[in-house]
Amino acid sequence: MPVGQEFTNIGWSLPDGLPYLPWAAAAAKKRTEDLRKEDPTSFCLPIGIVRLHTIALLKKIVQVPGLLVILNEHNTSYRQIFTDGRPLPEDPNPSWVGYSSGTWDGDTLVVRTAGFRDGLWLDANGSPLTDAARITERFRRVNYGKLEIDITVDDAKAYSRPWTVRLNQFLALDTDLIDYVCNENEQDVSHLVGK
Amino acid sequence: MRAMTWCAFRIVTGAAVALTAMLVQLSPLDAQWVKYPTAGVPKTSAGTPNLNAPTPRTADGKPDFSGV
Repeated sequence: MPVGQEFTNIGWSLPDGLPYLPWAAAAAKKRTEDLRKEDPTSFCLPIGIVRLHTIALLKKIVQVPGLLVILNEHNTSYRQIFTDGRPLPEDPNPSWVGYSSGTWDGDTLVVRTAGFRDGLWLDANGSPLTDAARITERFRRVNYGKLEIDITVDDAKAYSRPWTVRLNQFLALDTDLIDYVCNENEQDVSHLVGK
Repeated sequence: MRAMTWCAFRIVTGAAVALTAMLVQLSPLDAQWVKYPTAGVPKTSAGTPNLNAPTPRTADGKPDFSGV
């Protein structure tokens, strides 16, 4: 399964790159220089909804009335997107994947998510996502085999303006999710010394 | 002689059961679902999967993302 450029740099397709605020730019720079030793992935922690789209592991969508569930191979995890019209929670308990509610705009499912915990990474470069973030994803199944997702990140604590990237995802036939348990026989963390 | 035959039979039977159990545990990949064919895939006239086929839809006419 190919790894897209967005796995390393979520703003790869943006002509001017990500509009970091100064502290966020410094954080991403330091994290990269430190060889990602503080990356949540390195500690087998959840990676958040954006990286779940860019990591080279399979996921599977299950759609039923009022709910869409994404099953992730990564850490054998799941994400719920409610399509029953519920509003986003007012003061939610901070969450790795946030709280997602979707509405239809024609053939596009527009998913709004809020309630993230602070300190998430959006990519391997360490682009930050804070607890102030709101993410909007526009899911469109272009044809049988292709899913297009436009992701808009609005996080005024870390970026000077909202920004949008497009991800293209392709159907994997004749296969299924398998176990991926990061902590199983994990022996790397003690060797991550950075720079 | 009869006792020996019975004993040999039990040894052979036991070995066969153990071997069968071992083979079941060492089943090749084709017994796993990672190779299970996806159902309902539209096909081209050549019989290959047609990934450019129209988007599947649910009963209420919305695009169906299931399975992606």
